[in-house]
Amino acid sequence: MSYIQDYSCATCHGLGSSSLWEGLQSGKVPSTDSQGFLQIPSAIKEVSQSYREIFVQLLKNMIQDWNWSEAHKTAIIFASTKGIIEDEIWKEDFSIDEDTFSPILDTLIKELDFSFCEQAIVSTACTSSHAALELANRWLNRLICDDVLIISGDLIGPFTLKGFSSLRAISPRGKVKPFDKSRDGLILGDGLAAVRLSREKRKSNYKLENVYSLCEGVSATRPDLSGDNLSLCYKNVCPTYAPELIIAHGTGTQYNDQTESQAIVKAFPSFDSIPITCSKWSIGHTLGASGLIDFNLALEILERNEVPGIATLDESNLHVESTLLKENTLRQIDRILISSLGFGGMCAAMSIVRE
Amino acid sequence: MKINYFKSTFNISQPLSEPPWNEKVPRWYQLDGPALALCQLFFEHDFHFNYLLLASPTSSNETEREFVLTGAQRAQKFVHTLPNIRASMALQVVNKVTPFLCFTGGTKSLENALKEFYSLNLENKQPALVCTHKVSTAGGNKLYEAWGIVKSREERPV
Repeated sequence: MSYIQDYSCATCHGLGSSSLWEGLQSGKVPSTDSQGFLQIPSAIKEVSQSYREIFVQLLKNMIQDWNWSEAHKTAIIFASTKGIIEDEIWKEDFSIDEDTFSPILDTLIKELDFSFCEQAIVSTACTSSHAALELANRWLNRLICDDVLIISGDLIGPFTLKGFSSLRAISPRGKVKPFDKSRDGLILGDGLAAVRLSREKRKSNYKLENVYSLCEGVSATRPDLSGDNLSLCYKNVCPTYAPELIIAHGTGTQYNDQTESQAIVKAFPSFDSIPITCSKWSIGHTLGASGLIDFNLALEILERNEVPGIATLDESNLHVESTLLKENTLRQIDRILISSLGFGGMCAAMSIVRE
Repeated sequence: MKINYFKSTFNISQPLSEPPWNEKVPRWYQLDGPALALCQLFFEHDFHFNYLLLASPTSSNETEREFVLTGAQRAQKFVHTLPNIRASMALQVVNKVTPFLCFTGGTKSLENALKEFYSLNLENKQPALVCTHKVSTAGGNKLYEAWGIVKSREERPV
């Protein structure tokens, strides 16, 4: 358990969690760019040939106004699916021994000019944010540090686009319809996010209560469709109560949404009273950043007592159909579960609560 | 803390016969070198763990490079271009579901994985730490090595 001190993100809706929430609340489905993905707006994305520079500039913009005090021993964890592979992989002299993740973290630390007591990079595909938060909670519980800054991000480029196209995972009509019976795939989106957790309560009334992730030996790209293992993650993060809202991973692929539906039904006997929403219908799949972006969304929901619906949803053919939120809903929520699935058999969940 | 150390090698340059664990991993022939070595490790050594840590210093660079050099269109290559994915293949060999964490980012990844291994042992979580790397041989064979450690249950040096 840890306290949530600061949070921010950058998506196709702009910089900051307010932009994310307003984009979702407006029911806006931005247009993809000429390459077919949802970009962070050029107004805030520095024009650069280097993904590393864009990463660092955006992350700095997100966190530089936070209060940085050497009095709080602070660790840093970076979570990403692909790091800056786009900068390096196309070069003729690319060395396979090259580390394509550390340059982001090392440059950011240098530019922040702040001394971190520990640093780590984790990568568990699209559950990377959950993995980073799980490690952060453990470091705080072990008294390794007072605070942990978690940053996550993936910027979309030709490698990722070609890869997901090769898997035929991209929605041919360019519209993400999570949990809809006509869902036909995902759209990729740029995404970065940052969160600062602390061991002690300061200004925040919100806590990251539990995080739990599993690796199942089932398939490289497909989760166990029974949802059993994802359900186990849900039960681990909500052992004694049902959440009041679920922010689903909701990629809009056949397998993802079916698995989440099964897991919800199995984990919570009262599932038909738990509303479900998600964000990818509007911001695209932001890969390793998606968990931390949904974390930002959860905090906006707790602050505003309003839950954005899934504006692209028409009709579902899944067990959870009756609890999927189509419309924005005014409701005080105190306990939110954020779900995630990733390639390589990854299942993960976390719970965020109002104290 | 006393540890047990395991190591396995997979030679992908030899004419391939099916590995003994082939029925456990569908389309095993599409795996990259690190995944093959890790599957071999889990098959050869029956080590007990309740938490799996993977150190992946150079991520999946080699497979990513192959994906690009072969036209960036082959899905069977792309699915292996993730630092964590080889763990999922290896867990198929032992039919296991487990809490899991993958560190990447150069040599620091191994240092962090070892620290986490130590801490999780103190918390009685019974972790295993595994890692893979490529071994070049003078004969031009391409070998991949996987190694793993768990805390020894016997109070003797191993």
